[in-house]
Amino acid sequence: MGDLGAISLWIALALAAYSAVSSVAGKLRGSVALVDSGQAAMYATVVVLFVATLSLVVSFISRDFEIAYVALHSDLAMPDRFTWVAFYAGNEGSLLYIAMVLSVMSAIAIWRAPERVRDALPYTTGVMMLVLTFFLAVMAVMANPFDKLPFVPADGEGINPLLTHFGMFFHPPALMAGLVGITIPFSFALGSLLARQTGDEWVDPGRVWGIITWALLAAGLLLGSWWAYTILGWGGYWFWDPVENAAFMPWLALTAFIHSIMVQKRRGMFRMWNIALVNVAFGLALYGMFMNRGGSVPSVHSFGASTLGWVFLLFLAVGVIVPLIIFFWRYPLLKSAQNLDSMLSREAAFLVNNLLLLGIAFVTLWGTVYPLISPLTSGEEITVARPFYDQVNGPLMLALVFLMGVGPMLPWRRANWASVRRALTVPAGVAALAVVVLLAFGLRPSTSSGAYALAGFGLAAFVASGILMEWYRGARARHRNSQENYAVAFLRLVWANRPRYGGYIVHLSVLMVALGIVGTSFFNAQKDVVLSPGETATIENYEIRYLGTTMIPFGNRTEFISSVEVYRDGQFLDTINPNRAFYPNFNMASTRAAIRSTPVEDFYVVPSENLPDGDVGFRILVNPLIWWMWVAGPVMVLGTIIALWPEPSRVPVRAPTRAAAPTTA
Amino acid sequence: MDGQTIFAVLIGAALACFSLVMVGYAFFRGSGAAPGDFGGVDGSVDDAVGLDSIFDSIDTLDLEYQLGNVPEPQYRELLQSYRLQAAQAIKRLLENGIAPPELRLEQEVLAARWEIHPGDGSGEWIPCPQCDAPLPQSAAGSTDGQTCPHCGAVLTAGAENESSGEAPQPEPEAPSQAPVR
Repeated sequence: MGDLGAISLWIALALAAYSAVSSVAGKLRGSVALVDSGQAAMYATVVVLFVATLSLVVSFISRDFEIAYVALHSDLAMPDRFTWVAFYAGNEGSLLYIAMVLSVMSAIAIWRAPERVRDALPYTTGVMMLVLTFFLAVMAVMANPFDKLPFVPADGEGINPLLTHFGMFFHPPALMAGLVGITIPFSFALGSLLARQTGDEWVDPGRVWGIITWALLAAGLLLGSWWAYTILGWGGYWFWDPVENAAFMPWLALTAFIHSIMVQKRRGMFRMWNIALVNVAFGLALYGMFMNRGGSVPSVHSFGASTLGWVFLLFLAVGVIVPLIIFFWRYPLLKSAQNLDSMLSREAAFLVNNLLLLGIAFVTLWGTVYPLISPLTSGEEITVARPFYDQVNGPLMLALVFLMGVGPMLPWRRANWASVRRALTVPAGVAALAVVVLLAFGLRPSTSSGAYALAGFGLAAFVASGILMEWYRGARARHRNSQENYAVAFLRLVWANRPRYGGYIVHLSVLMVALGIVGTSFFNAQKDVVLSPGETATIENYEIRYLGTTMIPFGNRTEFISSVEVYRDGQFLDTINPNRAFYPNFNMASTRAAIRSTPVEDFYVVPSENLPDGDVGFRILVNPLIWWMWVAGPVMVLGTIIALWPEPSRVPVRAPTRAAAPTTA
Repeated sequence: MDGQTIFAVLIGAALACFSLVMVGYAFFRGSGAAPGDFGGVDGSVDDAVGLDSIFDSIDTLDLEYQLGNVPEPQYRELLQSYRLQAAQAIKRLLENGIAPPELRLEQEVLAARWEIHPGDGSGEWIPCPQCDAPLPQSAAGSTDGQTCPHCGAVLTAGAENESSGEAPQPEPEAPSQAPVR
């Protein structure tokens, strides 16, 4: 199957390159046949890449160790269910995955493109296929997943133990699809610019694909955090690792984009700004891919042995500079249809939200690249760690949460202070009540963490009550007008205003994440202990008793499963089994934390070291409210689906020739 | 060559043929389109899309009004502005022979009614200021931006006195309560 895969890859490369060239050339020469041929080639790449993908999957399933990539990322002991994970465990396979996803997304985007952008589609197709050509060329020439070994080994090296986790089935593919998916809204924007369609033509496909890629990135980031929490054994979920940041930054830019594109859709404003934003998001996505594949900052996420860094750096430079040139070339044509009527309006709130999001993105970018710049200025490499991000991004994020509560309460165009006061009185009252309750429970604003926590919880109460109040008032209005009961009225309200109410649900999921962050950042407790069998340790009102460890040898690893009894306030709760496995092939240990999870707090125990005498080093944590962070994922997906659910279209039809109207005048 | 290699070459050749057919088909088929016509749409479809956007805006405005986020004077002013925009877009659509299905149906029903009962059933009718088609007195005297079903002219209070198709700005109506959609 390796030969078929390699042949398919080269055919796909030829098709993508042809599609890029013929689409653009056809448009420039006015040749409809050339453009149609280019589009057909784009559709054909999906079929051909599917064959290449299938070839690699079959090679994994049949353990065809003649193929170097299969030998490197699987072995005979690997369960078949991990084939999907092994597929993108290395540089070569992940590039094939990216190419497949991009070709499918491109085909769907072009196929479903609205009539209004038809004239720009040859350029749009050209941009998409240029990006695809890059990935296919890198694969064909430098990182071919179908390269063969000069001999056939008896067994492979096996899959990286850190990847044998449920989260790995979704986290990398969602993140990679999200990063490369930004190509789609970017291509629509650039295609429209090239075709001199500098109005609002590209807004609908740009918005839809912007939200899809945003949701993919968000799901990927959340799943990655969950994976880190449960398997990496340090009890945290976000490390401000350069590669984590590299996925977080385009997500921030996309968050700004999907808000401001709504302003363009509604009001014809922010035309320049939206083009600039989608360019920034694309540039940051390319930066993320560069960091992931040979970027100069080492990371648990990057492909360490990759030599592709310079190619991706070159592509990053081209991907930033060329769109910038096109942007300035068309700049004189990019005039907004409306001006900002008032700073007290939803448009203005979106603008400030955009600035805050970009502020957080660029602070994160600065922190990520500073280790590269610091040797030039101070002579030594300075790594930027969590305190920097907390101090700088923390207040920006709080301001963002505040805007999340205020923005939806403001009407388009302009509001007056009386209506704003009326809309915000209840949420502000609930927020004040929440702060008073927290103060009564002993939370003091005298420390910076206390002040942050009070502000965080107060703002969360402010936003949540604002959203719930909107829901209630909308349902009440329908109930009064149409006599529907409240439940039906609410459901119909949501259904009739899907983008808006889907957005509210997504906002609620963001609040859940914020709750988790505030809880774990300011109220968590951690203890590292070494226990002999029968010994106990306490943390807050919890006590654990270590009973002993069982060693179980497997083909590719040895597992050490500990038994630990958990007590709270002296009452027995549960017996949990944290475990640690050692993989001799990789000289690597992988842990599985035992987590007792409730909406109030997680009790988390992970074995950090198994000593020869039977003693075990445990890390014990109490993580308040983190449960909400993981529940936020499905809620966010639900909100996104509701927001994107297609509305019944009011499609214009060509009218039949009508008889002359009766006229007596 | 072993069996697997032969299989790979054969499937690869089939894929190459498939690709060539896909790429070459457009040249043999002939799209029938004029050079440079890539299926872009004329302004009429732009109007239809714009009309969609106006409907969305009216829906949103209604919701904001029901939620109490928009005060009544501003609601009236914006609603009137959106209705005028919609009426103008509908007029252009009708002029170009393109209209949303529900609008076409509405026009046909109105036209049929007037064929049977010129006017609005009361026997009272006046000519459209633009195309002279018969209109019910109530429609011509309305103040909410209705359009003539024949030519799409925006009808306003006192329209019968207008001599050209240039539609005057109607007075905003005063909704007694939030509209139910």
